[in-house]
Amino acid sequence: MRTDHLSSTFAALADPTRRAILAKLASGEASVGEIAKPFKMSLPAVSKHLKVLSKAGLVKRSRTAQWRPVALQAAPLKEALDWIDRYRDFWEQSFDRLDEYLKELQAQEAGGKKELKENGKAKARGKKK
Amino acid sequence: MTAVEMANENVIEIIREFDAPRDLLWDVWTESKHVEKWFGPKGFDTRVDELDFRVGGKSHYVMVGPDGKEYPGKAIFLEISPKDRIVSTDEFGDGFEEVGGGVDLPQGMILTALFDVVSEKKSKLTVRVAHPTPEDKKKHEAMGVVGGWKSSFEKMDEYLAELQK
Repeated sequence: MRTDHLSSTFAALADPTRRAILAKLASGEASVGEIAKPFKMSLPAVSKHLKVLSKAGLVKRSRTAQWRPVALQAAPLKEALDWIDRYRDFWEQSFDRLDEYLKELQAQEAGGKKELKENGKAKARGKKK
Repeated sequence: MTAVEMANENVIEIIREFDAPRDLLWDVWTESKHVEKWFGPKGFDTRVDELDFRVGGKSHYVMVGPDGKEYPGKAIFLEISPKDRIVSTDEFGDGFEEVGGGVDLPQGMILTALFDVVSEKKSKLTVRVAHPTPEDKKKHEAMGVVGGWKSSFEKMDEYLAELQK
């Protein structure tokens, strides 16, 4: 399986803790300690999550500042959102067609049922002979 | 932030109500003669090459664009709970990058379709597409292997039957 950009973004987003970390970072950069606080998690555990996020390009850790804050990187999120929009469009259009098709089928069925009933009667009569 | 809020447990969720009984919706979703009539964006024609509707079974379809270009896709059924729920993998074939607008496509997505009765003549369809969790991945691999073995056994059965003719 090819690993691509979007897959690593979605894989990184597939975890509630990591999404919560991103949500926190959306209001500004934070240190690892600050990020860990609300989760009652050990620093190494948080570091692990940050590593996944950073690999996916969703966060960046400053090398210059002494407390090395973690900052949100929005570009991959934008890319993921764009894809979601297109994918949603795909389904919405399929569903529009499905809607029409279901109506058609049911109209046919309503017409067909009458016919079937009549055929059924004819068959029943046929069997009796 | 929107992106994070949107990406809840399942990456994408699309819900739609249809004026049709749930059983009919189920049939239209699971039988290739029906699927060809509605699957794909407007202006596309879908051809179902294979639809082996059972756990471990594969489906293989091609969407043909207005310009005649073919966009293949495939899936393996992971869970089937009749009239209620279908879980499958969802893979895009080569050529889909263009349909997607030139971006990379996520690979190995899991598609869940839920069928609900709203009333006698109304049903609700929920489609969720998510990146697989490690458990999904394991299941997927197991299913793929099981499916592969099943079809090998079927072939062997046929071969054995032929030999004994």
